[in-house]
Formats: sequence, C-alpha cells, structure tokens
Amino acid sequence: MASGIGRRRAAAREDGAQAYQDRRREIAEAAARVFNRKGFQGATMGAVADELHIDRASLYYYISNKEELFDEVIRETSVENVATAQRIQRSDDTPPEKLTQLIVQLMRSYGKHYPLLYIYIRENLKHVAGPRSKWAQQMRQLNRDYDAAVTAIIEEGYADGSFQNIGPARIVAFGIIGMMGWTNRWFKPGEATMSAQMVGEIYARLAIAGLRPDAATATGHRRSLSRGRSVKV
Amino acid sequence: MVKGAVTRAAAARTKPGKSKAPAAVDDADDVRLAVRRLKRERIVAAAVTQFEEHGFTGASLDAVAEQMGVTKPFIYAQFRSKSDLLGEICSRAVRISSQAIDLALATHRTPRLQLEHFARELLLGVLRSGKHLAIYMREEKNLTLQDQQLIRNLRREVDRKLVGVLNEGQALGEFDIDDPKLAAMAIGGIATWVGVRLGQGEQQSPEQIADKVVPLVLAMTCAR
Repeated sequence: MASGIGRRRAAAREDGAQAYQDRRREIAEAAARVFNRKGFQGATMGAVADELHIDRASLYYYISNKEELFDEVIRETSVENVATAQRIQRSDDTPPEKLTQLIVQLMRSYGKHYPLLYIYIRENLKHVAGPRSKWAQQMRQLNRDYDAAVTAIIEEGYADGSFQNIGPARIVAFGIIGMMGWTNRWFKPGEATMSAQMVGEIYARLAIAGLRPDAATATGHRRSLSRGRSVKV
Repeated sequence: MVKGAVTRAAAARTKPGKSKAPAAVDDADDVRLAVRRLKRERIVAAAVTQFEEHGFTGASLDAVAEQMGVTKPFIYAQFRSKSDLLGEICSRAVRISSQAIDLALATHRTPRLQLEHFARELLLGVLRSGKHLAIYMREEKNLTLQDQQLIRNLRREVDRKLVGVLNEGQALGEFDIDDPKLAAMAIGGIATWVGVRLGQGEQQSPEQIADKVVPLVLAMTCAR
C-alpha cells in the first residue's frame, strides 16, 4: 500500500527522529505485554492501542501491523545476541570463561526483553509463510549462527582439554541452548526471587561443572570446590 | 469443560484395570474400547495437523472433520469441543514427562539409574510426540482454566519427583548439584530441546540420539 501514511512512516523511520524512535519503543513494549497476555495469534493492533490508551489510527502511523512489530523486535534482539556470542567466541578467554559469559549474556537478554524472546520460542515461528517468510529465513540463519558460536566454544574446549568430551559438540550446544530456552517455562522476572543474571550464573556453573575434565572422577575435592562458590538464592 | 477434563483423568485411571473384567464381557468391551480409542486417535491426529498449521484460534472443527472425511457429530461423539481437543493434546504433551518419570522410578532403585532412564524416556517421547509439545507450548494460554489446572498439577508432580531423585542422589553422593530445583528444570530443557531440534530430519534413530544426549544430562548433574 503506497499510501500517504506508508510514505510518512518510512520517511520518519529513515530520518530516525528521536521522538519517533522513542514512541516506537514504547509501542514495542506495550505490544510485548499484549503478546504475552494473548499470544501472537490472539494479539491485535486494537489491543495494543488500548494498552497505550491511544486510538488505532495513531498506532498505524508508527506501525503497519503486529507482525512487523513483533518481527522487528525479535530480529534486532537476535542480531544483537548473535553478535555478542560471536564476539565472546572469538575473544582470547578460555573456553570455560567464554561459555560462562555466553550463558549469562543470553539469560540477561531473555530478562531484558521479557517476554518477547520467550514468545518467539513458544510460538515456533520457523516456517511462517507469505510476506513473513523472508523474516523466517533470516531468523533461521541467525539461529544457525548462534548454534555455530556455541558449538565452536565446545569444540575449542575439547581441543585444549578444558572440557571433557561428553558427546558431539553440536549436541552439547543444543543441550545448553535448550537449558536456556526452557527457562521460558518457569522464569518470570517480575515474580522471581532471582534476577536473570543470577539464573544465568547458576546455569553457567552447572554447565561448566558438567564439562570439567575431572567432573566424573574427583569426588570430595570437586564437591568442596563447587560448594564454596554456590550462590545463595 | 469439566466433563472433558474428567474423561481424561478417568481414561488415565481405568487403563491398567481393564484386564480384570470377566472373560465373557471382555471381548465386546475390548472391541468397543478399541474402536473408541481408534476414533479418538484419528481425531487427535487430524486436530494436531490443523492446530499446527493454523493455530488453535485459526483452526476449526469443520476443518478437522473435513480433513478426516467425516461429519462434525463424529467428532462430537468423542470430544465436547475444540477446547476439549486442545486439552487432550496438551495433556498428552505433559504425559511424555510424567510417564517417563514414573517408569524410571518403577524400574530402578538408585537415583543415577532413575535419572538416566528418565532422560532417555523423555527424549524418546519428545522425538515421538514433538508436535503435541509444540502445540502445548504455543497454545497453553488457550486451555480452559480446568485443563490449565490439571496440566499444571501434572507438571508440578513431575518436577517434584525429579527434584526428589536429584536430592536423593545428592544425599547418596551420586550427584553433585548446587540447586536441585534449577537442575531439574535444566534437565527437562536439555532433553526436550535436543529432542525437538534433532527430531526434524535427523539421519539417526531415536535410540542413537538418546545415546548421545543421556551422557550430557548425567554430566550436568556431575553423576558418577
């Protein structure tokens, strides 16, 4: 639709006027709350407008439909998360340090953008059709890039002996990403006694302890090590 | 939706007791039960396809009936509504893990073996019924309150049993875990996710996949 509103929206987005960007952010946050309550399919532009106490026409100035809104936020966040993972993977830190940072950062991202990334995980939107298929394709690539960064860290740990080899690196990577993604089943920042950062730290310790070369052999020694560093929740 | 929920709970209860019926009644009863079960299975399978493709909101019982080449009353004879069908699909998803933990507890005495068995069964269940799980995750919000409660209780029960296994293993020195509750969640996440990811067009048998994932779960609990 090459309407006036479409052109004005495109122009405003391109010149990046601060007020316009701020408003879009507010809308994205309100939409996140609506998506969380009603799910992607149940959410409507009208509900987002109500959430912001504005009329629908004003909302359409900023955004053309809910897919655009959701997709944009998810893609930007994922690009950011992949860049973080790749930066960590390429750094000079040791594999256990890298894995720890990666897990904590991902958990922080889930918390910061709550609940949007969780909705994306739950909705299983890998194969959406039509105009959104390009977005779905970009998302598949981003997910593959993220998997690859985690896999590379595991492989590096296998190679330098800082991780015990407990199976194909790709499957270990899926397992770790799964452990993180599964937090969507229970982690609710508003109600939780723990912050996303703390959950990330606990999960990082769990993963590192499991991958440590002496994990299956040393008993009392390792035990006291992990006790000493436990985080009180 | 009370009736749907009760039917599901009753179905789960009566299954094991069925063989105790007198022999004469047995045949006719068995046939009736088998037919009923077959019908329900076919309807659930068609609904899974429709819900998967169009979402719960976008799917209709008309489309389910059309896909099966039957009329809607055929469906209504087994399920009260679209919501009732969703409840059935979602409770099947949660039963993947509840059956896995019950089987593990019934089969083994020591926590390490119980955990190993649970992880394997959970993974195999996810590989078999990943679609139910995907629908459950996406459509949980569309469940009736009754079904939400029923399923939440089932999940809580699984979590409680798994945490029990981890605590016992911890006490026996079989595991080394800081936080059994969070570890239980992590174990569920690992097995479920790998199952979902590798269930999509992987060139390995479910058992081969399980052989690779179970050591990962054991490692995460520092099992020995």
